[in-house]
Amino acid sequence: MFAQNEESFVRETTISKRDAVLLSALFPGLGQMTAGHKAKGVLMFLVETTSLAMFVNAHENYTTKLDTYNRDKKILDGMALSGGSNYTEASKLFKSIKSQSNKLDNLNETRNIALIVAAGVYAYNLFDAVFLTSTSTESKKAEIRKNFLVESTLVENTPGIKISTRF
Amino acid sequence: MVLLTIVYGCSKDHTAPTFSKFDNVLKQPSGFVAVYNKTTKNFDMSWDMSDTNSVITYNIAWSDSNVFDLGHLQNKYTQSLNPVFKISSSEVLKTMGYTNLQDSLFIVYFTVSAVYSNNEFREFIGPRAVIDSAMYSK
Repeated sequence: MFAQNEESFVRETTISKRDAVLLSALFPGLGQMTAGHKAKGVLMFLVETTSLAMFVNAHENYTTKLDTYNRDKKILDGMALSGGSNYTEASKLFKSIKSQSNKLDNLNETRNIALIVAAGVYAYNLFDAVFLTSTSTESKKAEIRKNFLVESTLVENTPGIKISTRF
Repeated sequence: MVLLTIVYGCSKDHTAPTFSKFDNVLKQPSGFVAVYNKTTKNFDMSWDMSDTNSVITYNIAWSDSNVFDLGHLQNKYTQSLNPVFKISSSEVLKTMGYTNLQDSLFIVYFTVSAVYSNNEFREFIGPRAVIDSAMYSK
């Protein structure tokens, strides 16, 4: 009876490989964390979150600055025929547009790198969940047995089980 | 393939700016000289323009600062293709806001640009000649 209780307890606290893979597919690191590989899971989660945040930030900046760039470029392109414009102003505007173009290039590079890192982490996370992370019942049982002490005991002359653990 | 598709989708969507429409097409006058003639109380200017193709007139600009664009900048079309121009000192000083000049000596900075008009340019003021200074004296 004691053995049966322990077995059911162990079974409830483990996660199947399928569930770990599904969680990892949902967001990198979740499957690893749930399977007990907390450090690896947290690292993947943080890298993925940071990469995605960098991507969104760079993308938003790029979109905003692109609007200004297109507006100024349109003005420059139309200066020759607008009448009364002059070379000095066109030259200043061109320098400004050139600087804006360089900033747009940098932002584009940043967002692409962030996206590649995010995709790379996601792919590795799935690979890790499928092939590398151990989620077998036996290994979890061993781990749980190591952490929990389960023993039979009498409480007021009634038989029962005592589960203790260390924190 | 997924990565390449993503990177392609986010590739830059702006074209490099170009100044080729203006640069190396428009010419600047050379040998610009501005002097103050105390007798006539005029500023006299002269310059050379080797290529007058598409040039319809000239634009004279003046300022009270040696950092030309940071001063009280004013300009006037010569309405002529002659590479000479005269303008009264009172007009120059007045347009810059000096109606009652206290100083006996005053430096004014001048430059000239050719004004272009053709299929590509509409009364476009070209690059400036080298800036010259002229000393006004009462």
